[in-house]
Amino acid sequence: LRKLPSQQAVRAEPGPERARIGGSKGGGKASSGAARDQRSKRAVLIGEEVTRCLRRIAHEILERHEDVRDLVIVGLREGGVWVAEVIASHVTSVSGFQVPLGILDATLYRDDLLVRTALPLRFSTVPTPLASKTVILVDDVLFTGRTIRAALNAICDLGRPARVELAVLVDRGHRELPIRPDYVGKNLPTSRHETVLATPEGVFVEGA
Amino acid sequence: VTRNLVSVADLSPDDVRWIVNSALVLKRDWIGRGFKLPPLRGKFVGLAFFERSTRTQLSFKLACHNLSADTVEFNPEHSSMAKGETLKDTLATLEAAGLDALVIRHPAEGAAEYAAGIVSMPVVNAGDGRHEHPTQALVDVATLTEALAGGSGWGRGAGSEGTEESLGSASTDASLECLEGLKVLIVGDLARSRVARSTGRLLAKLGCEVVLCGPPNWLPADPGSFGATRATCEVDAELKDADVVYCLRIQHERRGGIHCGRSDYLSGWGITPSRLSLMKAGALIMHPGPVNRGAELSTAALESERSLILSQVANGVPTRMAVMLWCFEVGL
Repeated sequence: LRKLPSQQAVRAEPGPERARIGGSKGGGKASSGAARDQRSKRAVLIGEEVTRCLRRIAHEILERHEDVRDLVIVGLREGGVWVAEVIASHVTSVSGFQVPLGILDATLYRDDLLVRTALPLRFSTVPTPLASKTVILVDDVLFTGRTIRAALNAICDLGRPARVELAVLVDRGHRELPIRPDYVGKNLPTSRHETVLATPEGVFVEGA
Repeated sequence: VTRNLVSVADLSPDDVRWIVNSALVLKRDWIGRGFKLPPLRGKFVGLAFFERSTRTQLSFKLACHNLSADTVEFNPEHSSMAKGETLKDTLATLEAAGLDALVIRHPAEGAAEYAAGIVSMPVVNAGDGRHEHPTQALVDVATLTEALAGGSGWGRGAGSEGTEESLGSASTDASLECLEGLKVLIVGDLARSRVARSTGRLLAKLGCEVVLCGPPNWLPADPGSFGATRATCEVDAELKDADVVYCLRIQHERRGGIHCGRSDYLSGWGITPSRLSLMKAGALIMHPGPVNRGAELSTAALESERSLILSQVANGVPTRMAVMLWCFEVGL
């Protein structure tokens, strides 16, 4: 749901499914529903191409940051978690330094929290203190930018990092806030009505 | 649609799961870090306590403030009610004045439901006479779930299995299944206890076997309205296979003339060191507080590792935060 305009999201996934799909718009589970197979679905990245994009992002992060010890990688629930894990493991194996990996659920900072029913809150694990650290926020799909806004506010409450950067596997456009990614795996022009699914197995676009 | 929490009957199992899960997430990740959370910014919550309360009122106030809501305390003794205004007119006035939600405690049974019928804002029952205390029941369920699921709840850190499956399932469903089939023995001043009525019914709804135990004249005629299968005086026999022993406070203020001595109660119905040793391995002790030390519980029981009493206190604020979010989170 995070990558859908709210009114459309409500239409797309009614009932209790909404919350689950909403929380894992990029998770592998989301793509396995029978209903989704009925819709047109095209692959944008497949298998190894996903890994290659994320490995490139890891290298770009290391190129830009001389001191890897100042990095903290934070995946945004739900879809950003696996992406952050893959990026962090590449950063760790290339640099030889175990880069701290966090998970952030910024649901409490969402601007649509009270107009959604029962968005589930999930546990976060953000390595603190963040002062003097460079936080690399990681999400699977960048769409309106509202999730990132929420995450930035949460991060700023949790500490005062020296710098925050944004890495995404897919940038699908349609920003509603002045937010831009620092690292992009794939720029993907989409229509607002399409759904983008990002999984370790591939990135898929589904028509409405 | 207005969401009210008047009775535990207002809560579906999904609601309970959402509130308990949210409470434990809030407690672990977001409380006590030196900042307020933003979701209820601009909301005004009225705290109308027509009956004395320290801990419940304080925890509602902190819960609201943690979520950036403002609280307005309404003290009936210093209000127009002292000048003869009716409850109905007072409630209508509070709403007209611009409150967004009302937390109400009142000595009369049914007061919260009455209030919910008058105002259109969400109403949370913080205790109405002998009837219900639903937020305490949620605190108890959150505390038990937390204890049984192991310390920090279902959340697993980033360094765990690391698969999408484990991270996803770790947080979606607060597994209330750990409560199924537990035997909960509620001991004490039952007939007058709103805590027992709410906690018993909520635990029964979640699959616990609830048994009531106490002095014969303190047992209710209708154990079913407490979610209980039976009421008995055999504390020692029932204690042996109970998974949870929930002790109630002797309500001196609601007992009228009937007096019960501290040591008499302890030897008859309290958790003495010898009863403590009768309890089975892993069995837990709970109490809604404030404890009459040496009456409901011996010091040994109160301070034993079985005791969840301090966790119950610690879960008061996060659970009430989750309840306030639940009330306001009503969808489009």
